[in-house]
Amino acid sequence: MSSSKFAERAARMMANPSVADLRIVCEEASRLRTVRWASYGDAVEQLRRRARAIRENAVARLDELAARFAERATAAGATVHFAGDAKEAQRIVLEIARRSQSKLAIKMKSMLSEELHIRPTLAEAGVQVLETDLGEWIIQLAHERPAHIVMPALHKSREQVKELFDHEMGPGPETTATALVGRARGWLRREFVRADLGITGCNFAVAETGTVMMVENEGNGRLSMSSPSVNITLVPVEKLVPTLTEAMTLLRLLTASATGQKVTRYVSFVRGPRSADEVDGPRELHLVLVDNGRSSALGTELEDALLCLRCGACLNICPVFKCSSGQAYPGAYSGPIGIVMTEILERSEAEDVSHASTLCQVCRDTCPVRIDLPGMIHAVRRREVARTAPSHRERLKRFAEACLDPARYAGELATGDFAALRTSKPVPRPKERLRDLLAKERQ
Amino acid sequence: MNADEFFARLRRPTARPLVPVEPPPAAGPASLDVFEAELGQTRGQLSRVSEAGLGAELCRIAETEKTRTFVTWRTPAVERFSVAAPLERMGLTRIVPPEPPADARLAIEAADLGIVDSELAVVENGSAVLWTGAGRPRLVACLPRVLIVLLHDLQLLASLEELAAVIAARPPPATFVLVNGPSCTADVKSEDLRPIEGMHGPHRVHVVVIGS
Repeated sequence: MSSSKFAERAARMMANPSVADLRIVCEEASRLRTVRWASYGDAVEQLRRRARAIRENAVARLDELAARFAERATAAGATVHFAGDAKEAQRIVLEIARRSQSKLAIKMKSMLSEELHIRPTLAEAGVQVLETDLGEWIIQLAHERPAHIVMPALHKSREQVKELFDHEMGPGPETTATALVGRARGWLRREFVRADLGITGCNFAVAETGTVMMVENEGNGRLSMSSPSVNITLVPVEKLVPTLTEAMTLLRLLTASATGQKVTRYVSFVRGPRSADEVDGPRELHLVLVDNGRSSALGTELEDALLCLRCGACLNICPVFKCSSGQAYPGAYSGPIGIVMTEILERSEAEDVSHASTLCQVCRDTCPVRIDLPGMIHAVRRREVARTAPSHRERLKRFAEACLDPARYAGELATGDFAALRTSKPVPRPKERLRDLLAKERQ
Repeated sequence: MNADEFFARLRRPTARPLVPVEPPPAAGPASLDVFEAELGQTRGQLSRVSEAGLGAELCRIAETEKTRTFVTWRTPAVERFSVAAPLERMGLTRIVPPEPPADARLAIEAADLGIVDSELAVVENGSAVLWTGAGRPRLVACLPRVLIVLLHDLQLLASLEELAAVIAARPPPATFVLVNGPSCTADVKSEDLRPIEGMHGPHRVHVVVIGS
């Protein structure tokens, strides 16, 4: 493969010694998933088949589920917004922030907010946005992008984290993990109790009740939802499920596959704003349903990417991801699922990322809902070739020009670029074998 | 974008037939011993007490955890079990959140110990199910350093799907949360790659089961 943006970024990341830590953590996460799955015995396959069917049926009728979710959530007192693309989502979020005169927003980890560039959008409008998931906060302090969709700062060593904390809070005493976590808790707690806007994500959205479900271990999601008087929850449309019972099955498989946990420490289900007789919770709950290109995958060979639970299991097992980290990928999503999601959501950014895969098939077997990621990555490559390859006429012209320039001819031969001249037509078989021709000549 | 346009673009170009969905795997036994073991896996601590022994158990936890202030939900169970009295007798200061529509978060943040109650628990993953609402502030289970969950008149549910069925049979709650132990993080790598407890929520979670 010729030099490329992905390859350049991946090479930079590979030169970073702390990326070795990323490999260790990914492999540990894979081990924990395997142990958890094994603990379910034969039931894990039943769980996977059930989850796959639930997701397939949901994606097959997203329009119905979205309509029902909007109706039920509105009835529960939430305000539902509809964002066709990233710009519209940004405009909706900005309007809510301006109208509520918010100055400080606290935010939980949400890949959708990364995709929509919510933090920079609000920052430009003068709203300070603080990431409150510890990993995301570390990444914010470092002015970097997440290295992993579940564990965004796993490429940072404790020493690097201490440096970032010292820069933000002043010098601190220790580099033990417990001490660093304690410092972050104290610092962020002050912001939790004075923030006026909370921005949260959503793991699943239950259509029958208009409920959003959030999965987390740190408690920052619950605080971001419960403390500020205004909340904005970003809901990717493909996360809709019909019933709470089905959401519970997906929850079990999501947490088991992401971190090997039976469930995370907190699972919150939120259906409406605070009532008049409550003393906390958001007075305004805004649910923003976001499409941003997802619907373009419906009915195409990439549709099954919408079944994804966002557990990150395919990242943890991918040899390319483990060497390069999420920061080498062009979009918000990385690893095998990231290649496909980037094609669906940000085609112009897709670049050469479809080659960031060995097509070793392990991601397909690891995916809890058995998404055929290698098949889809192959489809993305075909699309990319169709978009970027020169026409046959252009290729012939290049060949003719190269034939007149021996140095260029040798160069293109060496890089294999002439391979593009091959046609799919079979080469005619010679009537006589070469050895027979040579024998005739000798006679 | 208006709602109808939004829904229209989510319509698949050609209908995809729905596939049959298998039932969830059979759940294990709904026993308190299994619940305790599962809660222990996530570093939650469980104790079983009689109604008469509850005050002593609350004082033991408050003393062990070195708490000085506490806040409770205002529910019938908290009143019925006189939760505050023994703690006040041992010298802890009770923090009472202001009445609505005042902002309660600074008051609740000042408490070291939060006490909430529930009647529902999920055995398969050791979850206490907390309903929030009037008299049940969400932040009481989020902000204090130590959380006590009182389980009384207990209905043990074998699985998450059973919980969903119980909830579906009631009027839909505004919010509820599954609590499975202290808050934790793995975002700063610990020496042994184990999660560090006490990130944004409680450092310790004690589940006290009242009655047989």
